[in-house]
Amino acid sequence: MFATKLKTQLLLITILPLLFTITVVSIFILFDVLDGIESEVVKRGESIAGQASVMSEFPLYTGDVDALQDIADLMIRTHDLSYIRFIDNTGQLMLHEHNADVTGTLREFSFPVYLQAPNLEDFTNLGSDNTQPAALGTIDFGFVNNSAEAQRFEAYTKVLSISMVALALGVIMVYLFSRRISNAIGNLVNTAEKLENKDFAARAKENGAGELLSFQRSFNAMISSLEQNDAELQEKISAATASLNYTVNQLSEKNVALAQQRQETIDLERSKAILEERERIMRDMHDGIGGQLVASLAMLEREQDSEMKQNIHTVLTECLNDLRLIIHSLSMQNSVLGSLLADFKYRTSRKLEQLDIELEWHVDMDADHLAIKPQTGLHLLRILQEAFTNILKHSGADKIRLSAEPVDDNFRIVIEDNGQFEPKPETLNACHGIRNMRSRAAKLGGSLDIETIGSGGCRLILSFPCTASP
Amino acid sequence: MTRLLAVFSLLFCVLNPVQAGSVHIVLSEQNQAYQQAARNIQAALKQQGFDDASQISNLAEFSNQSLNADDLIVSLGASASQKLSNTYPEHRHLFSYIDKSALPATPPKNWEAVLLDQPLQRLVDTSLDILKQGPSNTLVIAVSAGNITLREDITQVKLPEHIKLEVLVVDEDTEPAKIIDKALFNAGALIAVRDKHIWSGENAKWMLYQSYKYSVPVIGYSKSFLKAGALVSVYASLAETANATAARILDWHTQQGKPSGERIHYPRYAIEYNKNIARALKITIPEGGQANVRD
Repeated sequence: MFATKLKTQLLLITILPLLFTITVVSIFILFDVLDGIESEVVKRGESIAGQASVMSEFPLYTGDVDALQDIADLMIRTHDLSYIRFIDNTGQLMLHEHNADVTGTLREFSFPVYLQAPNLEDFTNLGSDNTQPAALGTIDFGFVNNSAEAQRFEAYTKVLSISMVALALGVIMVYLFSRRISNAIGNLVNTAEKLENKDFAARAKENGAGELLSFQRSFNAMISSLEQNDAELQEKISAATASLNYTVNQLSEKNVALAQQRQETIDLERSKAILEERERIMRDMHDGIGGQLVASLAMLEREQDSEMKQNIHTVLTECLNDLRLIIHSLSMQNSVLGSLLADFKYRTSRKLEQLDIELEWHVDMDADHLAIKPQTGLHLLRILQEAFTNILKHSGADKIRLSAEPVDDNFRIVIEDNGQFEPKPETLNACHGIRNMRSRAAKLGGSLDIETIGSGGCRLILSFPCTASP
Repeated sequence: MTRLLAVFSLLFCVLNPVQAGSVHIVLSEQNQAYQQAARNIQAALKQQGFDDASQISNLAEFSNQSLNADDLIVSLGASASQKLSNTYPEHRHLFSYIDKSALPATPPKNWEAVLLDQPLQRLVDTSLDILKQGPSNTLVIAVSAGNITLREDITQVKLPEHIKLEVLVVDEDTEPAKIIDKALFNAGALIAVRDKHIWSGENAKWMLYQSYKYSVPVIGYSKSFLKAGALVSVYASLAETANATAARILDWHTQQGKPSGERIHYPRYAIEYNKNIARALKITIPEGGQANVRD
């Protein structure tokens, strides 16, 4: 009610009955002592009255005031009385003696004086004693009992001191005896609070005794059991979480695969559509433009030879070759770089033989495994065609060397000639054909470099990533 | 001697076919003292071999009862003695537990009495041993003026010549303690007698007080005097009174109702000293002065 702390409650529970007991005992002792003091005072009064009564019986009986005077003087002197007076059985004051030396609070007594007559008959003594005491008078007296006051004060002091000492000892003993219990229970409470905060490693100190110690051990055993249960629960949760994560990952992977598969399907559909469209265009170009060019050449064959006929024949032939190149590039399905380069060599070698130009051809075996898309193949063929055209038109070379090989992650094609190449920087940048080659190389994800070699010839280096042709 | 006589009487009764009448014990008052006295008498009778059942009744029950002529009426106390003496004047009476002064003024024809009080001479004789130890040889006896019997007894007392007897006669309206100072001033001993005006109630207290004040030893007549402050007491115990009464009944029975000759009988007595008073008065108790029953 007044305190929430365990120690305080324990102290209150033990101290309050102790305090109550000490208070009751102290009050009892105090009253007993006071009664004893009062009894002593009364006993003193009765003793004085008894003495005065014995001495004054006969003077009261005979009315001897002189004898009473002597008795009064003796009693005042002996017992330090404040006053004493004798009253006869008719209520008349016989003597009043006052002692002026005595001052203070008076304790006054009044005792009747009886005359108990003896029964001198043996025979009548066998019956009930029917002799009634006769009143002779009354003795009044008073005295100052300073010693009683001192005793009373001493009694108060003693009882209070003893009570305080008993209480202090009680508190100390209660503290000492209850400390072990309160500490043990406090440990249990603290451990319970930690347990409430999920601290299963907490344990109560086993510092109690008897049943409390058993309780602490049981409590700790319970915590151990809880800890084990929690660990098992956590393990199960972890296992369930891992299983769930695995399932989610599986689903995610399946989703990715599904999306990829879907994308592939879309790409396949698109490629199929593109292929079909390309084949249609290719058939139209072959059947339409190709047929027209072949028919024009056949008609031109029937004409007479002339320079115009020769020029027109040349132009038509180039157009036809160019058309073939385009159709070839469009028809390259699942083609590889090796076959593309071999086809270019076949087309170019007859013209080089007519111009008496030697061709040195080195293609690495890896080129046969490098897949080339039709668009990529067209860009490569255009770059090669532009490079060989420039050599034939402008270099005056009699030897051309082509090498193709993988370098790191790229595939590099180098074309060299032994002609005369004196390029100017502004010419190289302004030349339309070179600009187209750089543009195509950039579309391949690669680069195109042109440099002069020591013999005066030209070297063209085309480098593009192997991954550019998936 | 008495027991021997009783045995012979008993033998005579057994051999004699003639029997006396019944014994009626009548109590003056129905109180513990008289009942105890009656039981003591019956016990004494039985002890002395008298098996006849005596009838005990109080005075109110016994009044106007028809009796045989040879019946014995044993009256315990003054009231029964006085009343039955007048009611049955022709019968044989035995008065017991009674003072000499309380005997019926007009006694019946045949009567005997066993008295509570002692012969005054016994008390005087006892006081002589005490007077030997003191400076004074004066004996003081206080008696009320109206106690004629006791005053006559006093005149019969025999004293040695060197002993002076001072008799203080007190009027009925005078308190004896207030006038005894002068007599006690020179007294060697004060003899208490059975006089209710002098030795009863507060008068007795103050008489004893004055005696102690003047260091005068008191010779009492009952055991109670010792407790009250007397030096020595000459008394007959109640048991001895019962024995004496039983002896008189047995005598009546053995004599078949004939009178024995003596009317007044005193029980065996004892003399007992109060050691504390003796020590206070610096009196040596005489040898053989302690309580021992005497004839």
